[in-house]
Amino acid sequence: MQYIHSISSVSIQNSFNQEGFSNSLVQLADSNGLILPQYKEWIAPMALRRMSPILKSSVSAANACIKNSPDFEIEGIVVGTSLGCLSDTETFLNNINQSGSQAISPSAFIQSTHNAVAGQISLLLGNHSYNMTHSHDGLSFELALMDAMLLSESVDGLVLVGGADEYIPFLEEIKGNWGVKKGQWQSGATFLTLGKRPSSSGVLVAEAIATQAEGSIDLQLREILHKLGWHPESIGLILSNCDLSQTFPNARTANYLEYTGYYPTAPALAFHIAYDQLVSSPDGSHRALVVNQICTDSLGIICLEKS
Amino acid sequence: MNIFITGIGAISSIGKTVDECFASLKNGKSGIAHSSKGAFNGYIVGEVQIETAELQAQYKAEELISRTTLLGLAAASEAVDGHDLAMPLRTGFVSGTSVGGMDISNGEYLNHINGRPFNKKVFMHHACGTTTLQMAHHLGIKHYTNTISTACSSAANAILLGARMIKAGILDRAVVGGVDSLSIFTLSGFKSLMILDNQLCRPFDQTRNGINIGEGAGYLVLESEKAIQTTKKNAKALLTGWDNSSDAYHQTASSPEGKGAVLAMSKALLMAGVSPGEISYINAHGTATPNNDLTESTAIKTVFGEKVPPFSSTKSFTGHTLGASGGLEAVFSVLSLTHGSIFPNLHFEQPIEETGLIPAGQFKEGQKIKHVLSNSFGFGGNNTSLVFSNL
Repeated sequence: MQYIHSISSVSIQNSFNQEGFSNSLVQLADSNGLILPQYKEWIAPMALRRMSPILKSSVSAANACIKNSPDFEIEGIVVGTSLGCLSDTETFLNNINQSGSQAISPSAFIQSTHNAVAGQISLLLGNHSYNMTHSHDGLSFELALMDAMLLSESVDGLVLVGGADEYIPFLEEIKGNWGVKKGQWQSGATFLTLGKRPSSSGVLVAEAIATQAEGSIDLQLREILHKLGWHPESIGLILSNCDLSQTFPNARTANYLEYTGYYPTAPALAFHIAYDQLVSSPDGSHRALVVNQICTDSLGIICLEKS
Repeated sequence: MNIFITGIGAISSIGKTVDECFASLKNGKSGIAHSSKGAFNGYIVGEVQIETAELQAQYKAEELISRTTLLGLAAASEAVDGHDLAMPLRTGFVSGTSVGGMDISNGEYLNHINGRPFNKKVFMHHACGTTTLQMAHHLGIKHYTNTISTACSSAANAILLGARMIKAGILDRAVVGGVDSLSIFTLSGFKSLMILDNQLCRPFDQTRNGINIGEGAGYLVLESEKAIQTTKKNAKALLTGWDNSSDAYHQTASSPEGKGAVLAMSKALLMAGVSPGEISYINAHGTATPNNDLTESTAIKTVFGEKVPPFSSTKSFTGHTLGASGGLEAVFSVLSLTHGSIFPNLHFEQPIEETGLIPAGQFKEGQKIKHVLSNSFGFGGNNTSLVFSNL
């Protein structure tokens, strides 16, 4: 288990540096798109100039986290992104198409690599530690979190973890293949710092799992909770994107996609909403789950607890 | 605890199997040439000498599948051949790739923006994770699958992650490595950076002028001590050290002193409990770009001082296989240990003036190779070093 020391998101919710935002969530259908921070406050002008949307939101959220946990060194940077830097990928493909025999500018290519987010963060921080990017479809964030939790056990400082994906209009054209309806695609970037030492919030990640779904998710969930020594009655909140049977009598449940929009690393924002509920919700729940079964074959489970 | 390597698999422009690759390395036979495919006209590349259709038939693969998945499957299948993946062991599959199924998605996207008919289903194969999941499905690995995408250090990082999970007791066994296939996207990308050579690449040479892109895949099977007692497989070598560190200097270029490379190499050696003097051979990253080879040489001199061991870049044989390079070169590192081999650095004539290092010139066999260091450095200042050791 690892403690959450700080967390921030750029999303359709008022989630950037706003504790308690989860008590006034906006539904996707009613949202006006991403609520952006003042990027200039978080990123130097020279760096900002050439950044794509996913880079701007990720670097801002990462910097906000680091600012909110200033006492510790960042000893690892781990990012999950399923589709990577789509706008720069698209730009470079367009550049290839239009160039003919002319030279093509490399900027979009450089920033199209999946690890551009993690790499850019290390560059701007001058950070020499472990730097990893997980790009594994619907479980990219959970896998990044597992990696970060493993790393955090062996370092004294904090590990910065993030989950980010960006929307481009072209996704709407091919949406049918992913079963995502028109208007559901979104962008988002969530970053948090994890550490062994207890944090002022007292919220910890007890477990993060990314695996194959085997038949009944309820059964797999029960096994994981049993290993943690958690009774189903102790779960106060479940955010999921699938139907769970009535195994959690005291849990408020919600489909997080209604509040995050669809993007493969949306579980990261669901994680933030769950965290925020644990610290600020009046109902006093102290345990929350984020359950991700966006693909029938895969299963992501994150267990949060406020100590 | 020891991490045992019990399987290796490889496919590249110099061979469709590990044995074929080794024979080419032994005979100085590079696989870099003008492409046979119209799409890559004008580029010299390290192309795997097998048609996609043939691979599809071989693996009874679905009609719509990326070449990346198929090449990965070829190498991973070779690595796991003779392994019972259904044994009650927590087995993972961690694969590195820089652009996943871009080989088929980039063409389809170009169709789209030029108003030509395009097949939306192709984009289901674009994502890095999808190529890994398809491979895992064919191999029958379900418990833990993951994809690492850190540009040219992807496969090395996949190996590192699998090893960390075994060491932490989360996995018993892991199939790890990486794959990339040729694509217009990456060829155009490296060309736009002006680091693509239109002649055969010359790693560590004063006149080096850039990379030749290659395609391929390389995978290892890693097992814990407990797992090997169950599987009873013969180990070929040990993975004894690893490190990933960041250069934090520039998005693509490495720092003049090669800080990230120095950190990665030093920390991997420290972890392995191996002193620089005990390294028998370095399989360098050696892309043949003006920047990498200079900074890597500088970093090697910092870590090894005056006693730089024999080193070479096998990218002079295979081309730079991008996300696959760490995996393919891990296989070559294991071959170095099992055959007592030093692989030559082709096309070298004059040392880099600033550093004066001279890479291995000839293939050698039957040498005393105890420990091998393998470097893989990617864009974003991502530096990974792995130490492989004899049993």
